[in-house]
Amino acid sequence: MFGILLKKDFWELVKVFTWRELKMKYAQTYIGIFWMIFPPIMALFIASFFFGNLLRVSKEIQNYTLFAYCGMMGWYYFSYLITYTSISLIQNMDIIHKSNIPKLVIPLSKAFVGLFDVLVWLAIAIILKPFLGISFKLSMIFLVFAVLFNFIAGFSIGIWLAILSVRWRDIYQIIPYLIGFTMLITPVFYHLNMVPSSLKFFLYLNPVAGSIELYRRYIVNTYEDLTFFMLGFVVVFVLLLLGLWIFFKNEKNIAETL
Amino acid sequence: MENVIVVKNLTKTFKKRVERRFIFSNKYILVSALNNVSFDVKEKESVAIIGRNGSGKSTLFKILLGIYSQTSGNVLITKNINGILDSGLGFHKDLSGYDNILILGKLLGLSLKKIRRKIDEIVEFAELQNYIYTPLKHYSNGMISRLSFSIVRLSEADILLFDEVLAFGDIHFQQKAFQYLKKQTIEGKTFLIISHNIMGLIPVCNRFILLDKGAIVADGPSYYVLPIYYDSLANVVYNSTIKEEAFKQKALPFSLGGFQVDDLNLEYGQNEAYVEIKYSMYDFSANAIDVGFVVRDIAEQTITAFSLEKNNISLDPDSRTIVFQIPLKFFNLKYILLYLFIFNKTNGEFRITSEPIVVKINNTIESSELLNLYKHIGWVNLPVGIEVK
Repeated sequence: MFGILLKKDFWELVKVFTWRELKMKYAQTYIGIFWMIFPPIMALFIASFFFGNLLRVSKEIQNYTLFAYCGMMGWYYFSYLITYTSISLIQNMDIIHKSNIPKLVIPLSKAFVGLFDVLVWLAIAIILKPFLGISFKLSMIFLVFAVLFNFIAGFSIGIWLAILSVRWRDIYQIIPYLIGFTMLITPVFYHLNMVPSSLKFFLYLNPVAGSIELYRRYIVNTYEDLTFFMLGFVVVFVLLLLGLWIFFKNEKNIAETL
Repeated sequence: MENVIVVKNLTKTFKKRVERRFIFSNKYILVSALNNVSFDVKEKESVAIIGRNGSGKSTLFKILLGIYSQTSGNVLITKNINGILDSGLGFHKDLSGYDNILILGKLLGLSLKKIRRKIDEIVEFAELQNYIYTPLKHYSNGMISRLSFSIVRLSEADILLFDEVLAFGDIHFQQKAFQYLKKQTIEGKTFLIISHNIMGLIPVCNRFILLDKGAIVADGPSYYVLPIYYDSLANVVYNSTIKEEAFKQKALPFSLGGFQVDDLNLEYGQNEAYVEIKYSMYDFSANAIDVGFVVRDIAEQTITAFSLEKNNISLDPDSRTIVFQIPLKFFNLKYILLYLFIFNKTNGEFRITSEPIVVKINNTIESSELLNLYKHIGWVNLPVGIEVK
């Protein structure tokens, strides 16, 4: 069942579809793909001028601009994945009805489009580091795991929503609120230590919180203890495997029900 | 030759949602799209699947391609199968022709390497050399269907399915595509084609399968299946007994200038039909008027026409009745449609009725005749003189 993930043809399809989505996203804009630097620049502006001057927290946290930027980066990809993978099957209903490609290609290519955005966010953060006096460390290569964690966190939930929405489109009515609510319980703008210890367990279960803290560790060089975040990771990893299994099992149903 | 597709007792039932209420709408009806369908396709055959909308053609293709699973029955396919169910599948209007080639090529399972290598060939076959980097929204429907056909033809699959892919191409391109398909069957490929352009299919497909309400009604060569298909159309569209009265009411009196047809009667003889028209004339000299009928088949394709002028007969100023005798044995059809027309030879004015009279011909194929099917090729039997020396 999972063997499809090893096939060259599958990944070529993902490549073509990612390319298609990417081109569609910026079709007929004048600066095209350069729009990708817009969200991170806006995030920087919010983190430095807006929250940096407005909130009291910003004074207590070192390098608050980049700190909040990391939070927004993790958050951006997570919400991107949830929003777009969940709706991807319905958006591409035509292809699903009329060809028998592996359907996983469709949400996966959406996820990869977001990945390009994340790479731009990361590049900007790394370029900024020396200007803010943060030293480079070799451990920065572990950012790969932060991105992977971020991806799994969003994709596992996204794929469940996608499967459910095939049958119940009511899901789409909830997604904006789901995203808005989870943002409040995720340390995007505030520090881990500001959460009361009685509520920390829920924070550890929050997979985005884990990936955001990982970004911070390798970009802002924070030293929080992240062991407990493994809990959230295990949860989403299981969710992902289960989601994929159900997805593969119901592939033909998807075409018939959609 | 060996069978490449074997379909046995294939049945497909859909649960279709009924949205009767705005909320809590959760009702389903069962729709059976295919009902106990059995057939097999041999290597190198090219099969046309015809039938009315909703007869289950596309569902059959989707099951063959593995997009849907069957409710019951067996489908056995021994070779690679692929196909395109929509011209422009996966195409996006904002992307260029080039990008869309990659997408459709990939959907058809070609490797990226092969698509890139063959891109010139695709563009050349589609005759789109100047448009390949233009967004698809500037393409016409014909260009899009040309492009998709040119990609599909590179598919390496042994069995290819086409669902109305050529619908928008012009006649020139359709000819080219059909020529190509013919050549490919010789080289060992198998085709299944859905199309409503039935006349175009006749030279390409050596076998026709007629589906109606999810069941196979007829299966065989075109000259066997098409008359049956057309007859079924006739039964749906026309009820010939009422039709004559309707014609009289709607179309008569029918006049051009000073010539007017007042009444029309249809009578059947042994092997012919008699159409009698009664007319009145006012200010025209009799030989300036030609009256006759255009003969069309049930799909409104013109077969022939007959008139006074064609038979070198001119109107007699004193008579008030013309009788046309139509030899029915010349037609290989169950019904023909006659459209009355009047032509004015002095000023070239032409007028034709919008309603036809339906003439019923009892010329059905008996099942005992199956061996002599070739006698039914074509719509009209030409009375050719043959001499054996």
